[in-house]
Amino acid sequence: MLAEQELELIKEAIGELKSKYQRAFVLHKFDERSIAEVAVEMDLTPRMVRTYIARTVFYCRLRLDGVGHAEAHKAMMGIQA
Amino acid sequence: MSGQASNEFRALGEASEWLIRLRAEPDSEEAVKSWIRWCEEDPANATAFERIQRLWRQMDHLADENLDHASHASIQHAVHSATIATLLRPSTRRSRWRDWRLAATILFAISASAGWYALKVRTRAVPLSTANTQNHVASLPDGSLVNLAGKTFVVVNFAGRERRLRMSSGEAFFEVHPDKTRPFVVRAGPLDVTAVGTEFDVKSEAGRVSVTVAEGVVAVQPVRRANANASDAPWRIGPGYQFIYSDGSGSTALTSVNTSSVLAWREGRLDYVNAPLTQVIADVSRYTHHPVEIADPSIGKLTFTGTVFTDSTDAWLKALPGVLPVRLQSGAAGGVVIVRAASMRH
Repeated sequence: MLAEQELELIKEAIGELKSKYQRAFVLHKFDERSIAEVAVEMDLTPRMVRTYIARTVFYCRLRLDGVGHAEAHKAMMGIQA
Repeated sequence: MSGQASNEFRALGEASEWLIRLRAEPDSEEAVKSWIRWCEEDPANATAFERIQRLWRQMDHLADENLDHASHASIQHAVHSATIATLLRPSTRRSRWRDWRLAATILFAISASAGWYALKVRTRAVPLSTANTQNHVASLPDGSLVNLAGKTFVVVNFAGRERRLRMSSGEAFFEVHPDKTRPFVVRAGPLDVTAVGTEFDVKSEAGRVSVTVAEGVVAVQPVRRANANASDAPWRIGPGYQFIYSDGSGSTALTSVNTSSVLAWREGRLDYVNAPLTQVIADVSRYTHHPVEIADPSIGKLTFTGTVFTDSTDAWLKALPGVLPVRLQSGAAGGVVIVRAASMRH
């Protein structure tokens, strides 16, 4: 698969997630905020932020690997970072 | 779901947790230690971590994508870009992405001119790893290079006063960018190996650490002892020498070696002259997909002379019974066990 197609799939996968996941991920990854800073901004515990971001990455990996939406979602919920 | 697929799911899930944990606790010795333990527990873990890490880096490009395509994309594309982008302040969505880019450029400029300042701001612990069968060269933020042998894990933490790295069992070659103000310290097993600007190799396996110096001088010291005294002064090792430390006995040895043969693994070759089979198998198994074990210690003492090519370890294993009085049996998890040939008697 081409790198561009993969990026397209990653973007779609992120779009499938609830906005709280997207927000935590984007703040940490692209705004370069630390986990602690994201926690303050979103009014969550750092642990929750870690869980959200880890779930987002895991979910994207599974979707890229061709795992269906429902199965990937179920697997993702197993993560408690 | 088959057992293998579910193990892969488990490994990928845990790898995602580890990636975030290491970013959240870059200075935690405990986190790094348990991460390395986890990597070594199951080959699937190391592979999964590498795949998650690759995805994480790939995601860097999403920022550019949003900026570049926001105006002229298909509807679906626009929807997704919007979903991601509106998370930032909606009204200033595009300028936020630009700001982010700008910030990255500025940091880069600072790091090019003022060196460590920017690194102190930005650097978190960066885990590097290789799954089996391949070597991997990584450049570090200070300009140093690390060449990792198969199945080797290194965590880089440049946030403090020293450039600190911690490696798992395995082997790595370091080309250190000179910086007298910030020593470059590799922790391997019970040792701290310190360099300023030099080239050296560290190999750590089952309680034995060897340090081979290709250029310059390194200092080796056991990790913090409760009451340090004069006898704990570091060993200094010069070019062309190999220092070996055995954890159990605490014994040390310094010998002159042919460094190009010690370092041949970087070109995909493992060279041996009368090396005990245990040592050869420990190296070779970093380049096999399945575990390779030796059935009993007397076989491990057999010596091997020759070259193993790291991209054809399976062929080498198959040929081994023609060279030494052993035969191969299949072991657990698709692995291979080396046993005595039936006719062999001592």
